[in-house]
Amino acid sequence: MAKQKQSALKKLRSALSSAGLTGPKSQVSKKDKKRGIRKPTNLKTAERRQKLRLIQNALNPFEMKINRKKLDVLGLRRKDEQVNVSVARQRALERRKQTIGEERRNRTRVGGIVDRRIGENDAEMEPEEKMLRRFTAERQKRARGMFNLEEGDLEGEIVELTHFGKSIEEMDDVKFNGFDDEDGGNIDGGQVAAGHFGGFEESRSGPKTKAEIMQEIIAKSKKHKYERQLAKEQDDELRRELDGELASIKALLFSKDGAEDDEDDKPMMKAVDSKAVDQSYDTVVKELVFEKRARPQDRLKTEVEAAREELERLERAERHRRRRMEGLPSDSEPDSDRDSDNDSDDGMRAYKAESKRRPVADDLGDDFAPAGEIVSESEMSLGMGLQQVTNEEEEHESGEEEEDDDEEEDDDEAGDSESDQSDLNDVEVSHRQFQQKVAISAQPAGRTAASSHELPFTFPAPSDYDAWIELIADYSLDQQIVVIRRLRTLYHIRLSPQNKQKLSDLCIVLTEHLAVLAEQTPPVPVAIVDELVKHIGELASIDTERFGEHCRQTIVDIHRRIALAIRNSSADANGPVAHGTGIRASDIALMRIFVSVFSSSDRYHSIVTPMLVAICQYLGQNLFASLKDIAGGLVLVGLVHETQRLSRRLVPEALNFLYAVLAASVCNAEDPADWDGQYPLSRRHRLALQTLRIGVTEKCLSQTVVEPIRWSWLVSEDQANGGSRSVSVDSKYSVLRAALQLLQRFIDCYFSQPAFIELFEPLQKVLGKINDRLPKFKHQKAPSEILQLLDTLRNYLNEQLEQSQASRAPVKMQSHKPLAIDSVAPMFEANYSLDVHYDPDRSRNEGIKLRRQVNREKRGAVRELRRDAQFIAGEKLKEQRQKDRAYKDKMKKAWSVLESDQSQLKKLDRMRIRERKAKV
Amino acid sequence: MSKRKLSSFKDEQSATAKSSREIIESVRRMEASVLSSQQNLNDVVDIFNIAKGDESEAVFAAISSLGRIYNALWEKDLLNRSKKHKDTAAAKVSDWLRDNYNQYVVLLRSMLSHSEAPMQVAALKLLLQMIEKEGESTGRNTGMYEFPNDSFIAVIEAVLDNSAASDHLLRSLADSYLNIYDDLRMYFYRDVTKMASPDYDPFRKSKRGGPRTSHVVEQVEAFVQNTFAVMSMVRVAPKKTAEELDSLWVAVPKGVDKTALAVVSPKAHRKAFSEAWLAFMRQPLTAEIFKQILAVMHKRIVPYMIDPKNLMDFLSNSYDAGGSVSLLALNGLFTLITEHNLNYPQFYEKLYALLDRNLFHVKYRARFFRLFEVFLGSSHLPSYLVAAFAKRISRLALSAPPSGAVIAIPVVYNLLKAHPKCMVLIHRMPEYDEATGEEKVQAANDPYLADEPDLAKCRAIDSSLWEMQTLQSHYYPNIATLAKIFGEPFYKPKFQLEDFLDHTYNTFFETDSSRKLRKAPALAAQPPTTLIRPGDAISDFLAY
Repeated sequence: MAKQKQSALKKLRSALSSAGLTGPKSQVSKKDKKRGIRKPTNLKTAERRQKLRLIQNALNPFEMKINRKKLDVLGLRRKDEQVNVSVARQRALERRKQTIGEERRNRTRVGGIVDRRIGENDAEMEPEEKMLRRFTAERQKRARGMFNLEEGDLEGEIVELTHFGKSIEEMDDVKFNGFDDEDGGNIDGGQVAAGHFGGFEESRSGPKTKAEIMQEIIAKSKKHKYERQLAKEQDDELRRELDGELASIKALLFSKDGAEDDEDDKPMMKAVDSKAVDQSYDTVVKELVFEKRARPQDRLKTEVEAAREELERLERAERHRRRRMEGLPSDSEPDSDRDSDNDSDDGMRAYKAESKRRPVADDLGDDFAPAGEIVSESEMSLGMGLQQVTNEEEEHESGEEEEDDDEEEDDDEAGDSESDQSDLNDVEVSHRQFQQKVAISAQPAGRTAASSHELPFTFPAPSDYDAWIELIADYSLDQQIVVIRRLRTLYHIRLSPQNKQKLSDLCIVLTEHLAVLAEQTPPVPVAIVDELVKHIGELASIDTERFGEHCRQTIVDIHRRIALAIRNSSADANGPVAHGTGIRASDIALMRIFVSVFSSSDRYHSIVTPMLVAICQYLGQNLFASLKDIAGGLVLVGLVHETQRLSRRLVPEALNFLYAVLAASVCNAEDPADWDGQYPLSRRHRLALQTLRIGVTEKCLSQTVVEPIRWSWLVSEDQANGGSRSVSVDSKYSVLRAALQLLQRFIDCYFSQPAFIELFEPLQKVLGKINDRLPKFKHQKAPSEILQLLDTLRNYLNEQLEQSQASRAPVKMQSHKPLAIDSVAPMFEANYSLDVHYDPDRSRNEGIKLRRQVNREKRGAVRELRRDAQFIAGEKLKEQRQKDRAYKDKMKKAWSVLESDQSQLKKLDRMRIRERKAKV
Repeated sequence: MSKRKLSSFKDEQSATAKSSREIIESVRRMEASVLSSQQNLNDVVDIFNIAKGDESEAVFAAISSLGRIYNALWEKDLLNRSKKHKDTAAAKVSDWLRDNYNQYVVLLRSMLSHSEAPMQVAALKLLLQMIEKEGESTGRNTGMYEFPNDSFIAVIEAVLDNSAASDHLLRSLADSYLNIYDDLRMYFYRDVTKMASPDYDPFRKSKRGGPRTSHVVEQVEAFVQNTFAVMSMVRVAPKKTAEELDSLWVAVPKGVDKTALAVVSPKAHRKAFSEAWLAFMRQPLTAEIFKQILAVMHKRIVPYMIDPKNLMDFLSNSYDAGGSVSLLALNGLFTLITEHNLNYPQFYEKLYALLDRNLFHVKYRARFFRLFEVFLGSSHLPSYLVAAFAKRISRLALSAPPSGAVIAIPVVYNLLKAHPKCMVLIHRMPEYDEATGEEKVQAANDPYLADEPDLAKCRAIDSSLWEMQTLQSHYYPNIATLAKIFGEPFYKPKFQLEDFLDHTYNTFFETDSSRKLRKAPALAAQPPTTLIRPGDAISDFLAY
């Protein structure tokens, strides 16, 4: 403190004296010099200057910049509390000198060496080529010299050689004719001096020609090649020898006897060997100490425990299903919660469990864990290229497949006729292929089980459908089932890692086979189909991804046909209808399997959701003109119900279809007001459904029961109509019954929906209408089963509607936590500071912050650039000054020489004048 | 042409091919002789006789050569009947030539309904060339500008009344002439107006026939079809300034004051355009053409009409027609209401009536909802009205396909967002009795009257949107998620409706089926043991 109160002058003085710069001993007095005393305090000028600067810096208060602390934290020392401006400036200057200054100094200089070697860094270049390149480069370099004697002609440049200014040619002619005859080949020194320029060492006759050189190179390269071949052959021979001896070497390694034999053979090495054996024994013992001990196995579970585990597993599976239904991700592997009644699944599960632990050598024995999870991605996708599936993109205009309004029958779709055509062709082709398959497999299907063929016990695994057809061509349906069973045993998943691929192939093949069987007329026995379905269901878990991809492709294919059928029907009802468009019985069978194989209650399922969209498009837009279509539609609605059995989601298209079918049985197609309800219905649809109308005069076969819909109705039109052209009244009643039953199901399904009344109120009217209009004459009476069903359904519906009416309350979808009322009072800050930002908008605050930061950085950058420019200008000035000074000095020197000369001259002149004067 | 020639060559026997080649050769010779000297004018008759033949190549050669000859004759003014000197030899030649020329033109017109399209196009080209020459010649002789409309209307009539008119013919008329030449376009419009007028008599000069109304129905149909085809192909709208009207087929002779002419007056063009369309709309149109006119009305017709209010009858009649015609008329009507001050009584009632059961299924729903958003965009609409629309749309969405539901949800959300008073539709607290403070017992029935056409009486505001609540469990997951928005606080600003308008089943299916399989699809807990599960809905009615 006391120090700080001193005046600046005093401080300076004391600092100087303490640094030894002032004071009595600081200066070397003349006296001392004379005495030759050198004081230790006597410093060199540079040092003195530095010290002085330091003192100056330390003392100048204007160079100290003190940063104010905004947030003072006790005990925290910050670097930039006090900044010495001049020191900082000095440091910056130094840095600039080292960076920009250095750059400036080096800017005219070129450093580094260019690597001009040839082929040194190119690993791929052949050694021959490398040599050739180097050689040519060398020659070119030499050829460039003008006085290159050897290869002058190579480059085609003719340089006349001279000796002592005379052409060599001329000298040749004169002097060297016939000298070897005289001296027997000896040439004297004079001749050597004249002809050989003093004698060359080389005895060669002349320079090599280009051809010679090339030959040499070729020869060399051939030699190299030959040598390399030779070496390779030798290597191969050695390897072959080694391979031949492998068996004996193995025996040496693994059999004790062999080792003993060896010892017997070489008794001399016995001592040495025994020592080695001892050592190896020690190491083995040490290793064994660290090896893991065998663990005790789990004991077998009791029946109760097993049952409990099974229960838990089922519960878990249900929990996951529920989660997926809500649209949440299920946190387990999808197939781990698969049921396992049978051997195969057990095997799969065991395999899965085992595949988690690391494979050990013992595994090789019974079930070897497949390497690298069996198949790569590319292999997996190979199975997708099924013949039926063509992955062409379909392009549709947005509104094109939409049905038109009721006034209009003719949509203009002329623009798409070409794309239609190509699509049609596609579908035709695939349809034809499909029909072929059906035809092929129809052959064995027709045969009886009592086939004379004995079934072999092993089969090759079918990789695609053609192979499968080949395999089962001679067997009856029952035998086919046996074949499948045997295939599954033969290629059990635990037997080989390749079996996973084979089984998933089999699964896909079986799916296709099922599609083919579904198309047979007469239909194949239900037991066969069920057995097939069971196999597919079990095999689906082998490679779910691949099976799923296949299913999705099937769905895409079906959708394409659906879209085409819709377009065809809306474009022209009477036009040419391509074969194979629309839904087939096989499609329905396949989709039915997908519904039960996959977890169809999921909120989103990669197979079931697109399938539902496709079905709904079919139900909503297709023109149902025949019994086959309508029966198919009803089965599809049943299928939709099956998907929503658990999740109970609304499918408007299914209800609309059912309403339309119900109403069609009694309503007049020409009168739109007759068709109650909110469901959309165009005139074309009404007219198409006209086939279902039950006329009052039509008489049905049975007065009591109604035939169920037959599967064969779905297969072909003739089957559906029973050979006749029009739809028989019995089938109409079958359809009516199916629609009524389905509606009952849907009433149950949607009872909990808030809009239940809106959904099903129209049904009341429709049912009433049906009840009124169904024929009730003595002879043309509707079957009693229908009437009964109608009655129960009406009662049931009324009951349900009443119940729903009673329990329904206005919706309260906005019951959230109440929002705070906007306040109008001004906000008050207790310790308001200008430096703090009180903006409540976070993003705006951050924006300001960022903007500031950018500005700061920009200012800094500008400052830096300016300083750099100043520095460079200073450097330039310095250089200029140096140059000027050098020039000035030079001129000074010159001037001084000249001046002295001049003065000398003048002096001489003066002297001369003086002498002259003196003479005179 | 050459292709056709080739094919006909192949088909015919070599002898006839040879002869046709000879005929063409002779035609060429005769043409050269006619053109070289007036002495040989008689050859015109020979060429004309060939032109009447059946050999299509020869006919083609003959008519083109006649075209060249008559071009030259027009240039020489040999085809004008002079009234002054009736008896001179030159006048006789002229008369004779003129008769031949008229026959030729009649032949060409009849060829417009030739069975082959290229022939039709060629005939049209020659006819219009003749008209050009005729107009120029008249201009040269009289010093006045006069469009030879008599000839032109005959050509237009031959084209438009022609049930055999090929697409090429109509296209070439529109593209190569009407779209390019302003005078042709204007006179075309005028001629269409004339032809469409009920008392138009195509045979006014001859004695046979009567007014157009007595025509056979097929011909009127052909006229309507062709006229609409050509008029919709004429893409050039009436031009706004006289400077732009510079491309004329029949040139204005020098020295004629251009400003006084109708052909270069934009107003005359607009008038011709308006009248042509109005006259055309009075024709017995097919439903298809009706819809197409409505579809282009607001863009291509209304802005260029002299008085768009003239369209009001047409539009309001279409709007009252119901169905998709109403939806289409809405667009034109909207233009009239907003830009031309049309007052349409009970507009919202009509709009409400348009929301019928087929709304979400028709092609034009996107178009409708674009306009619907505008109509209900005003914040000054009474809440009962907005509530009625919201309720009706949700009711329809309940039976709509996903592509419709995906529009309905944002529309209702936007309505509720803009009219907070309608929030009771999705959130109704029980009312309290003022005196006792107890909850009032609410009526169990839905007060909404779905069949009531009067917006004020349908009591939608007292109802609730149970439909939207049900849509929250729609089978298509995206719609279910979208419908969840009604259960969340209304923080989200309005939906951009445009994002939702263009979905169809196919787009939904595409997005779902092209999604990459990230993980294996989930399997059912129990693998199936039978194709049809016992107890399944299908098992009730299906026997395998």
